[in-house]
Amino acid sequence: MDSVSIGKGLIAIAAALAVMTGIFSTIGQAYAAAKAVEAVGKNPEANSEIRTMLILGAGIAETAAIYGMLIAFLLIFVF
Amino acid sequence: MWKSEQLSILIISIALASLFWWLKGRLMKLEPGKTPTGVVFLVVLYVRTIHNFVEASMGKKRAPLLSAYIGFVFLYLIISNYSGLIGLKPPTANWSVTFTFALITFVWIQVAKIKVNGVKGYLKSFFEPIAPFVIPNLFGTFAPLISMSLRLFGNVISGTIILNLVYSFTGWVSGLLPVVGKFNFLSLIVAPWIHIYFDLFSGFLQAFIFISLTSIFIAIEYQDEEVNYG
Repeated sequence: MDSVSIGKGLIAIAAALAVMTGIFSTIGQAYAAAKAVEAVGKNPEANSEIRTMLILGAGIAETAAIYGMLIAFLLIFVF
Repeated sequence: MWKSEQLSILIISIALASLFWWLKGRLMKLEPGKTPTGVVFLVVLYVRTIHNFVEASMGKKRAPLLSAYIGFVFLYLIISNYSGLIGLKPPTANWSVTFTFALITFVWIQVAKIKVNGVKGYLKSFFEPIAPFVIPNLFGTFAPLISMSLRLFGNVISGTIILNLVYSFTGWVSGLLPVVGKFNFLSLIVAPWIHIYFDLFSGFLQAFIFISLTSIFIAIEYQDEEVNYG
């Protein structure tokens, strides 16, 4: 651990901030899941269709978190 | 020296090509009216499933053309994403692979737009509703190219990197033991669960999202036509 410098510390902080996009993506996914539960409660016979849509929507909402993760990895491994 | 991604792209492409070649021979022997068995049955089932999936969003008229592309892309992405399980580096962990697929989708969307609106209407659609909107319209045109490729690439690369970190960490921890430390036994307990999430679940999900978005984006362009001509 002799290569620790201020620059490296700043990069680590920047990576942590980039990963914080996960907060909002999680809120969005949780909202989608709550709505899906509601929808299944209203009409249980559409169960499988709702599941497909939920997974699709959750996967798309995950995109922002993935971008944040990608940027964090770029910050850590490239610089 | 080759990067390992290029090697696995080559391996998977050759494997898929020989698989298709072999299946073509099997499919040629299929007699109409007879129930297919074994591998041929699976192939027919797969084609049928993809066809139904595309038809649900595209309508009957356009479905055959697109379902061939969708079926191949889904097979390739699934095999690429799962190739991390047998020790290859997934080809989709290389941006050029995902970008190529996104580029094909992008070109297809533009071609569909031109086919429906005509060249003049296509160019005019950038300046709607008023001329200054050309900048957001251009961004909107190129956004699917970036977002579709980066979504798949980011998911696969993050899984690969996290698994690398897990393997090196478990190797370091088990290296603390004196004699048996050379063998990374801790990864046998920890890694499979992460493989299940990142390779099996995420890989399938991202491949599915890719083909869904492709068919939806292209179907949107043809939608007006469907309304007009029934």
